[in-house]
Amino acid sequence: MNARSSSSPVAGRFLRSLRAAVLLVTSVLLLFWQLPTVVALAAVYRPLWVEAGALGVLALVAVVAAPVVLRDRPWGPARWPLLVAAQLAVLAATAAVPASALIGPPHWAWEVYGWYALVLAMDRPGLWAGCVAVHLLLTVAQVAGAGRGQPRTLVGMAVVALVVGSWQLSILLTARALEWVAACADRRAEQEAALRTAESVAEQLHRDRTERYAALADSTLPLLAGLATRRISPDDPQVQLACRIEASRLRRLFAENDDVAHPLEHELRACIDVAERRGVAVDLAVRGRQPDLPRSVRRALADRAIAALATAEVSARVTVVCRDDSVVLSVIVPGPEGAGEGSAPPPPGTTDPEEPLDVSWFDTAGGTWLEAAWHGR
Amino acid sequence: MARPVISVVVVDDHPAILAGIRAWYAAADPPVQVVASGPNVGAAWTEPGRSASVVVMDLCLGGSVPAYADLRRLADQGRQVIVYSMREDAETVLTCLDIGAFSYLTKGEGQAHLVTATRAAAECRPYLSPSLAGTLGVDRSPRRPALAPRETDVLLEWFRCESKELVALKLGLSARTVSTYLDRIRIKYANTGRPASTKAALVARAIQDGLIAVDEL
Repeated sequence: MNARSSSSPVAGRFLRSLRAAVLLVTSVLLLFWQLPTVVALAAVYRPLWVEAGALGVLALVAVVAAPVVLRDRPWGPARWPLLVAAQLAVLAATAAVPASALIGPPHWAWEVYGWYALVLAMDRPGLWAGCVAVHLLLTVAQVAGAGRGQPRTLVGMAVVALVVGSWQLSILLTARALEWVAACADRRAEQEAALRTAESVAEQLHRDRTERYAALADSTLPLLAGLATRRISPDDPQVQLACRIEASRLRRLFAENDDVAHPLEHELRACIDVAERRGVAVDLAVRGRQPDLPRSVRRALADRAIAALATAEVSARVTVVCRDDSVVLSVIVPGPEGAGEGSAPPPPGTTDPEEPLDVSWFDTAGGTWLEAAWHGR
Repeated sequence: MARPVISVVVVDDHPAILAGIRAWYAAADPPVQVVASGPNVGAAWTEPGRSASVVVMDLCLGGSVPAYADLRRLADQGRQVIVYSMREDAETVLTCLDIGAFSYLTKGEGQAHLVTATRAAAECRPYLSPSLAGTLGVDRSPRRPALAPRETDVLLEWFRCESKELVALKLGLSARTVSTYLDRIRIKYANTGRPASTKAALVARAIQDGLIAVDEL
């Protein structure tokens, strides 16, 4: 209908129905009042064909307007010829009524123009008012010109015009009010949607935090508690190893929520940073386009890297190879740490019972080689 | 064994890199001789750099644009160029190979591989560094040569562990076979894309050495 309603879906729906209702009123008046009147009082009109023609033009205007109104299209400049056609038809219909019958039952024409103006200009109250005013002035001129300009007739006209006009005006005001209410409703709906989004984001954050806390509660907290109560000693190499692993896991958790292009690489770098602070030279190389990995898979991969890196003393090489359907993490730690003599060391650092990775350890005289592969479904 | 001394010209705009490369070459056995060096490719076009058998060049020389044009001119002259760069992205690496670079080393792997790559370049024998192998192993570009699954495995394992012995152990091959796989893959790449005399020389030498048969190309 217009730019205002299209910006608000609720207002658009309301106004569309209102337009259709006005068109319906106009058509009902045409079919059940104007047409029967012309048929019943055919003998009065001078000449009849002008009256019938005027009725035909008004019917045509309604027919042309129907698809635009029912499909809720804006009028644009197309309304002007229709407004003028309706006005001319009404003038002609009045002209065909003999002076004695003016402002009587045969003179239906002057009362209906406002409805056509409403169909064609509901989105522009000023235009509607202007058209109706011009129409009334012309009609008064016609009536006065026919010698019926007595105060009594004019007062009668004014009363009818006021009644019909108020009715039409109330519809216009309703349209305006609907627009306003709908805009409020839209605004409120937007606010509520924003609130809901914020709530669900907060919920998700809270869940993430709880989950992270749970992940730490199993391992980090007992370690810290042990150190605090001196149950375990920082001199113990096993405790040092556990501290390295937990420090890396904390860093990985901090990195998990960062908004970065390559989360896996970002999280691995966080783990590597912990090892580098100990003086281990870690070489990270990534090849291939990194797919969007589920967080659990990234965690599992990083946990493997953490476990392997924790054993490194001098250097390590971490590589990630991403292919169409797989991501393979490989960590090579040179040195005697991995001297498992053929038996693969137990894969430490796993916390996820539903292991999403294929993990293999490869022990050589030169060191340990861990490979953890994720295969996309 | 009196192998001829290999002469190299090094093009890099960081003096520390130049000094480091000189030190590695001096410590090699037999040493590699750096006959000239400089911050731009002018060092490779003027004597004594002009007659050096291998050019080692950085790709980012001062500007933000990679020095592909310099690389192309050197390759078109049949110069053996080893690109030694910070950049690891597949597009840069594959472009350099396509232009006709002999090999591509990332700055992280210089110490372990630069001397070996330089010797290979001087003898016109293929050499794939691990980082380059990683890039070729995941290469999905339309121009890439057809590789057997086993060849891709070798590329990726070499990328992961940087040790041919480990690759051999893991895949149940001999270290020599691993080398042969890598060399053949390099030749296949030399035989694709833009024609360059350096690539043709590499392929010709490989055929001469029996590394690859003519009908395999």
